Amino acid sequence: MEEKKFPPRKVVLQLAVSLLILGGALVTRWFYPEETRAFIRRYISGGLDYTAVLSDMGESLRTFVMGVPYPDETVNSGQMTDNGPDTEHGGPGIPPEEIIPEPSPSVTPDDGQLPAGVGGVRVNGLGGLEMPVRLVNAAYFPAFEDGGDDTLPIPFGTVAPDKADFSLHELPFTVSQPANGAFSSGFGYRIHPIYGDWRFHFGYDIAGYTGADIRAFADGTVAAVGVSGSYGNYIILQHADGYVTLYAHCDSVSANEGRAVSAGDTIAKMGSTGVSTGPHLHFELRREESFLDPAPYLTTE
Amino acid sequence: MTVGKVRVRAGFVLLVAALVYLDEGYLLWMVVGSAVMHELGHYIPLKIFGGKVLLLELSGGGLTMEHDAREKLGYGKELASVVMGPILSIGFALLFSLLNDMMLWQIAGICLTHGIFNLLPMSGLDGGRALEIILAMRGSAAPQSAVRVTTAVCGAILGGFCVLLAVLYHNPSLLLALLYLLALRKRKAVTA
Repeated sequence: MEEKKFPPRKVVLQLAVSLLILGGALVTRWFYPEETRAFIRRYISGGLDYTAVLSDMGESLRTFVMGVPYPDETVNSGQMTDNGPDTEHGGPGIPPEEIIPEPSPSVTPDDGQLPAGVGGVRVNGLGGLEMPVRLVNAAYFPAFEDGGDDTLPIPFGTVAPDKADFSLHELPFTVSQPANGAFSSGFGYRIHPIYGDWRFHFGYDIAGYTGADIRAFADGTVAAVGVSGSYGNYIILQHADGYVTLYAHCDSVSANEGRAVSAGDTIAKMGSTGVSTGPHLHFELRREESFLDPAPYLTTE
Repeated sequence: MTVGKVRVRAGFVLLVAALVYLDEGYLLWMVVGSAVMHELGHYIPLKIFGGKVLLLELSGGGLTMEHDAREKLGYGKELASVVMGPILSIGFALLFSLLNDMMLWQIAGICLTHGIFNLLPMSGLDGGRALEIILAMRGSAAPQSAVRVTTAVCGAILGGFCVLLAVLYHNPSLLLALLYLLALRKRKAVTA
């Protein structure tokens, strides 16, 4: 019947071919790495993040209608005040450079008290010994690629900085993976991939590709968005109970300060801005003055 | 291929394929939702006034609805049905923008773009159609030629903007979209 009703074979053929292409698009979408798609997206958009542009438009519309800019009720739930972030108490708005002068690895005069380890302490104060350090990124250090046991000598006198907190916290919220990708560098001492010396790394690195989604670790509010020399484009979220997460080296950040986010919301795109050797997410989990090891709460391979 | 009152063209399937492939989030579905809301804006007044949808075409250029409003309903009601599309789009944009959610804000952005773009006085868009009706209502002899002029002016401005974006910001996406739409128009003109 239909054949008679629609004689133009050409039309049927066109449709069949286009459906085939649609099927191909679906298959490649689900079974092929996202890299190619991200590359095309980047190429035709010139790096512009359309989702961010669109949500900015929605937000501007709200501002236009309501007559006030967005941040109102949700902002004060954290440590933010009307005058901006509370910088005295290690609030989320502290520019990262100020809280994290990467400590000199070899000189940390300390009482030797070491934090309790989680899943094995990676750094302790006994200098000169070979310590198990879970840190080396094969991509950064090809020489260690086949080492396997991640064992490196730590210079004499090296102690974990006071601010490093290796204990396992019971987080008062459900968490979500901040990015897909490969684990590339953990919390602890490492030879800095660029400076080439021993430095304590306060974050957890997940390597991916430029344009990959960076998602909120947990429900919270955007406490700060900024650019710094070392962190590149970064975004800081304030969560319940004083927990704070930071996402650095972003290609772009798509959430504005004061915005409420849910765990798993895309808040930024992975990039290699700041001091970085390749596209990755530098993820930090903090609480007040201390930096937690994010590893126990992540499932990145 | 036409099934009932719906005609699906190969270009539409290709467009969906491209969007499915490139889309990373839910943008495609937001665009589809926005388009449906927009068409509902046309459809509801049309139904209320007793008009009839003759054909819903899904082509590479998007959704278009053919109806008998002009012949049966007269200028006033046709105008209402034409402008209700963008009005509903903008209304939904306002509604979604008032809620505190990033994703809803994205939908608001899409609806807003959809509504405002369609209000441009260019032939093929709601704005052009509305302008044509208004001019005809005022007794203009050749409303279509006036719309042709506004189409050319708006087209030139839009084209200039797209070229600027491509050259200055290395973002050829809108230019590509414009060329694509132009190619569609040309083909339509040839086949029509």
